[in-house]
Parts: sequence; C-alpha cells; structure tokens
Amino acid sequence: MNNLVIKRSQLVEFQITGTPTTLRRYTARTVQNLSRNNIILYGIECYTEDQLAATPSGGAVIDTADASKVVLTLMDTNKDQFLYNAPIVSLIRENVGGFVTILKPRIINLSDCYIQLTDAAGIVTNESVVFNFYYDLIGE
Amino acid sequence: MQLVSPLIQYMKDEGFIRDTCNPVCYSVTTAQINFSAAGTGLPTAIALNKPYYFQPYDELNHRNSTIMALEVVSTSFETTFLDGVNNVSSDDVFSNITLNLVNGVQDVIVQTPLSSLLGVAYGGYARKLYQVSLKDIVWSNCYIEITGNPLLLSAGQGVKFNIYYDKK
Repeated sequence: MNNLVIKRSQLVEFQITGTPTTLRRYTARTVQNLSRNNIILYGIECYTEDQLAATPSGGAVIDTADASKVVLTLMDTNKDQFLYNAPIVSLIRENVGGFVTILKPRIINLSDCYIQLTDAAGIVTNESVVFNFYYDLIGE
Repeated sequence: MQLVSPLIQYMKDEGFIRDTCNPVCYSVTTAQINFSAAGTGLPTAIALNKPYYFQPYDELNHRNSTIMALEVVSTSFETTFLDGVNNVSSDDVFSNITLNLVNGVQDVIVQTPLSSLLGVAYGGYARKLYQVSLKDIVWSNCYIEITGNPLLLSAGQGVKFNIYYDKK
C-alpha cells in the first residue's frame, strides 16, 4: 500500500462569500504560488475546523458537521473536470484511515476549480473550505 | 511476482508516493519552539499570525540532509519536555497552529496545520506519519504560526517536532 510523499504543499481557501446558496460556484482565493499554471497536482486533503481552527488569513473554517454539504470540482489546463463534484468528506484524512487522496498527476488551473453546496443550511457567510494541495513544479 | 500498474510505478519513480511504513532514515532529531508571555516584546511572545522561527540547525539544511518525515510530539507522548517546558494543553490545540517550511529564497515549500503532523490516534482515527521529501529547505527560515486562537497557548508551553532525515 502506498501513501503520499509531500514534495510541495500549499493551503488553498475556497471562501463562501455572500449568502450561502446551493448550485453557486465558489472559487479559490488567489494563491500566488499556484497561479502560473505550472503546477502538477498529485494529492489533495481537506480540512475542517477540527484540523485547522482558522485559515492563515484569519478566516473561519467550515464546521465539521457541515462538510457533508460541500462538493469539489477540479479542472486541469485542458478544462477537463477530472474531479467532478467529489464530496469533501472523503478528502478528510480522519475519514479514510489517515491516507491522503492521491490523484493522477495533472497540471491544474486553480482559477477554474470550485466548490458547490448541496445544502446551504447551517453554512455561515465567509466561512472557508480549506484544502492542502500537494504538488510539484513542471520540470523540477 | 507483484503486478504494479504503470501509473503507480510512474508515481513511485517521480517520488510522489511511497510504500506505507514508518520513516526509514539515517537520523532523527528534535526541534522545539517555546512560547513566552505576550507583551514582553520577545520573539517568542504569543501573538496571532506571527512567525516563530526555528533555531538555526545547519545539519537540517538542504546542503547537509534531506528531511524524510516530520511529526509533532503529541501530548500523549510528552506532557513536559526535557527543558521543563510543557507541551500544549491538548492535541486539539494543534489545529490552531500552522507549520511553514521555507527554502533559501523564502518560498514556502510546505504549509500544513500541526494537527496533520500528529503521528498518533486523533479524533478516534489512526493517523499516518507525514512523509515529506524536502531537498532544498533552510531550517532557520522555517516557522510556525498561530492562525487560530492564541488564548489556547500560554507562556511556559512549547511545541516539539521529531524530524527524520537522511544525511547527504
């Protein structure tokens, strides 16, 4: 059995701005480290407030009980939704025996990636869903 | 004979994944950051979003070693460290602190909450030790940061890491 090796990692926040609404797409806050489309994503992990009490920018993190109301879509530079509406509950290590979800390495376009709410009840405005992106740089 | 998919083999060759096991490394050391009372002006005074840098440790720099794994010392392992400083009050506090590993040109290579670095059961689920493969970090540039509630920490407490590394 294999587990992920961290080459590089970066916390990425998807903030639920405005009144929380189902079907609306909430995109990631800009991360300069990941903004050049030279990122090969090969693993991902999600944090709720049990693992990360607040984001590095000071924002509130989504309540653990609300994690089952959020799905994630990741898009690569060919606009291929290679991870489509995946429940974030399965991306939390505590729920999967401590393992990090490993993906086939892809060059991602972070600005195209988004989360959606399947149920907005209980979600608070400006809360963030935080992921740790495990990545490598092209050619490194 | 063991069949391995081409994708798994590729990811192993590229160093993205590794067989699940405890860290296999040449040496293990510890690093500790102690907190002091807020308002004293010391670099270790407790404050939100302030970097607490590790002491320089040349052996851990990229020219001398490669860090293979990191673990934060759980409160169930040590409540008090060798220097008399106490560990944090409970493992739940680690979700309020973030670790940043930084290279020689101040790029943050790894950013993760300390709760992810616990090697013991947490919240009822077994956690695997983090496996990292860091070739170009400068240890004295690395730091932790309180991103959550600083009131959960107090003077006389500290955070300790086990660092598993290979010498070059």
